[in-house]
Amino acid sequence: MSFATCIKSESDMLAIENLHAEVDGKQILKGLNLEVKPGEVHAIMGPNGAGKSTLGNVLAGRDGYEVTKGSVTFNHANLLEQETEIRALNGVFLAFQYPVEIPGVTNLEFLKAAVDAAHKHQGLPPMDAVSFLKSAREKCQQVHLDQSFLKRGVNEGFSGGEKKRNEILQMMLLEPKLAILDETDSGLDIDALQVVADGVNALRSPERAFVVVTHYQRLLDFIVPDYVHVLADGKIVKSGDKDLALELEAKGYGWLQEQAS
Amino acid sequence: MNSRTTLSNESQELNSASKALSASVISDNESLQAEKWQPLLWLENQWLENQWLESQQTQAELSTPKWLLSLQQHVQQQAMNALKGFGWPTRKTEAWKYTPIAQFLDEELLRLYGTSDDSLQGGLQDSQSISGRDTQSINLPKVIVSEQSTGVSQESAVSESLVLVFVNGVFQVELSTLDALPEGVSFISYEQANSEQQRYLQAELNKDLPAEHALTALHKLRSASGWLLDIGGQTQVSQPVTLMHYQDGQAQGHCPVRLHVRVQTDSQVTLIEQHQAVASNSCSTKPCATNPCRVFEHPEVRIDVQQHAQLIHAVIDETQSSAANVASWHLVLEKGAAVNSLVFALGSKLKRIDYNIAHQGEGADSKLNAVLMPKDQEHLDLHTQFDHQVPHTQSQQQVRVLLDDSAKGVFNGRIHIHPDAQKTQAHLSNKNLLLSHKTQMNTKPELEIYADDVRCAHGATVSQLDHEALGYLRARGISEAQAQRMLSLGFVQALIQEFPLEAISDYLIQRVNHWFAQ
Repeated sequence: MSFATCIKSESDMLAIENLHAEVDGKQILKGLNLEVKPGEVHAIMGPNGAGKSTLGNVLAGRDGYEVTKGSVTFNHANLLEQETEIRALNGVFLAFQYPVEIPGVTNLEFLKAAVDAAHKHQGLPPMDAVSFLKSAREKCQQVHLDQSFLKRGVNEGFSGGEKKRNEILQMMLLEPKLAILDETDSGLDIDALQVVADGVNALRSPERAFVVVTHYQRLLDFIVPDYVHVLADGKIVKSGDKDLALELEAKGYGWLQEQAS
Repeated sequence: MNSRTTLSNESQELNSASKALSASVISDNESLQAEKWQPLLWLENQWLENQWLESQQTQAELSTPKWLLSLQQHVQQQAMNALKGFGWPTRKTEAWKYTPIAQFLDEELLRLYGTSDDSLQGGLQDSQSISGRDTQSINLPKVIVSEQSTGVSQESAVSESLVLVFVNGVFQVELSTLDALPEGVSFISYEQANSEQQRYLQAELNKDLPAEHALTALHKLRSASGWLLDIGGQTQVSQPVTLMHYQDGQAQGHCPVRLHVRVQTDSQVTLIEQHQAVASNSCSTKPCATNPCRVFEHPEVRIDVQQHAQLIHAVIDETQSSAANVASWHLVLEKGAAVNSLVFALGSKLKRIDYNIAHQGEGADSKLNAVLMPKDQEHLDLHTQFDHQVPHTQSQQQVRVLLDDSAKGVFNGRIHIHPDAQKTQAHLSNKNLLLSHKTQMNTKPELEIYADDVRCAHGATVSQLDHEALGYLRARGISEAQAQRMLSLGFVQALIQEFPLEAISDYLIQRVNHWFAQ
C-alpha cells in the first residue's frame, strides 16, 4: 500500500482523491491521490508530461484547467469550488514555473495589494506603508534581491533567477499555509538554488506544508522532503521517503513506468 | 466684458435677419435632416447679409481699437473662405470620419441663431448678464497647483499661486491673480496690447496654421476676442501658471476666444491648463436650461516657444458634458526651443482635441504624453500633427487610451517631415486598452516624409487586459476587480508620472482611481 492511498485522516490539510483534470480537452491527471498534513514537505517528481505542473495549477485554480472527476479538500473545505483569489486568501500559494511580467504595476504596489488583501481577509488592519516597506526590504535581502526590484514593474525584465526569487519573496510576505513550488529550481544556478531553499526552510513550521514539484534530486539536497512521490501518466505510481529521490536519480523513471503499465 | 456685449449684439442682429431665412431653411427641426438644409451656405448668407462686423461697428468703435477691428474683419473673411474650402464636416470628411459632429453643429446654429424669439431673448439676457453673473454662485473646484504643493522656494517673492480664470470663455478678473504675475509676465486682452504686441498679434493672426479644419475655421469666424499671456525674454517663471477654464452645466452663450502664449527667448515657464465642468444652479429656471449649448468650443490656444525657451505644458480636461467639446492647441517651436507636454482628458458626449506642434527652428525638441479615458457612451478624439520643417529636430509622442463601457475613441497622429528637415528624429506610439467588449477604438498613426535622412517610428496597438497577468494577481489573493484596476492604472501610470510636476501627477493618479470608482 502506497502512501498515496493511506486512510484519510482528520488531521489532513490537503486531501486529493481520484483527481482527473484536462487541459484543452486533453486528459492530463488520471486519478491522482495525495494527502498532505501540516508540517510536511512532499516532493513530486516525474518525467516530462506526467502532469506535475498541472497538479500545481489545478490546486491554485488557474484558468484553462478543468477538473472532470475527483475532489480536493483543503482544511476541510472543497477547494475546487473556490475562486483563485479565495484559495490564495485561504492560504494556498503557488510559486509559478513561469512568473508573469506585468509592466506598469510596480512590484511594491503588487506586494502591498496582496498583503493588504490577506490582512483584510484575516480581519486584520492593513499594514501602514512604512512598516510594509521595511518588511519588504528585509525579505528582499533574504532572497538576495536588490531593493531596486521593488520599484520595477512586476517581473518586468527580471532574469529567470530573479523571477524565481521574486516568487519566494512573495511567499515569505504572504506566509501561506500550503506552498506549492512548481519547478522553482529549473534554470537556477547553485547559488540561487540555495537562496530558494533557504527561503523555504526558513518558513518550515509545524503549521505549514510544502509541495515541491521538481525534475531534479538536487533541490532535495537543500530542502529535505518527508515524502517523495513519482507522478507518471497522471497518477502517483510510487511513493517513498527522501531515498526514493536518490534512487530515481540513479535509475531514471523508465523502470517505474514499466511497473505501472 | 466687452467681448460679451459685442457677441450679444451680433446675435441680436442675426436674429432679425434669420427670421426671414427661417421660413425657408429652418422652420422646424425636420428641415435639419432635409436636403435643403445646407449649413455652410446658410452660415455664409448670415455672414454676408448681416455684415457681422459692420453691425457691431457703432458699438465696437467705442471700445475696439481700429487695428483690431480691421484685423478681425480680415481674419473672419479668411476663415469664411477656409470654411468653404474645407466644407461642412460630415462622415465623408477625413478629419471627421469617426467623429460625427455635424448634428451637434446644426443644433448649435439653430440654438444660436434660429430659435424662437422667447428662448433667444432668454438666452441673450443670460449671455448679457453672464459677465456680471455672481460667480460665487458657481461652486468652483480648487486649482491643483497651490503654493504649498509645488514646493516653490521660500525666497520666492510671489505669495499667491498664479491663476487665471475663465468661466464659459469669459475672463474673470476678480477670480484671477493678475497682481501676482511676476515681473516680465503679462496677461492682456487684444484691446490692451501695446504696439509691439499688436504687431505680434497681427502677424500671428495672419498666419495659416498647419492642420486646420472646418472647426478651427469656424472658431476663427466666431471668436472676436482674445488674450495674450506674454512671458518676456530671459524670464524664469518659478511658479506654474494655471489657466482655469470652467464651463457650467448650461454653458449658455459661452464665448469662443483665442488664447496666445508667447514664451520669449531663453525663458522658462510651466503652464497648466485645467478644464472643468461645474454645476451651476443660477441657470436652472432660465430658458437656457432647456436650450443648452450643443458645441462648446474651448479657447483655441496658440503657443509660441521662441529661441531656446522651455515650456512645460499640461492640459487637464475633466469636462464630461452632454455637449460636443472642441479644443485645439497649436504650438510653434523656434530654434533650440523645448516643450514637454501632458494631455489628460476624460470623455464627453463628443470631444475632439487637436494638439499640433510645428518644429520651425533647428534643435527644437518636443515630447507629448497623452492619456485619454472615455467611458459610458462617451466619444473622445485626439488628433495630433507634428510638423518638422527644418533639419535637426526631435519629437516623441506617447498616447494611451483607456476605454470602458460603450465608449468610442479616435486617435489620428501624424508626423509630417518637410523636404528640408534632414536628421529629424520622430517617434509616435499609440496603445489602446479596451476594458469592455462594447468599446471601439479607431487609430491611425501616419508618417508623411519628404526627407531622406531621418529616423522615424510609429506604431499602434489595441488590446484587452492580459488574462495571464490578471490570473497572476488573483493567484496572490487580489480580487478580480482590483486586479483589473491595477492593470488599467499600470497602463496609464507611467505616462502620467513622467510629468515633472509631482503635484500634477499625484492629482491625476487620484483622478484615474476615481474614474474607476465612478
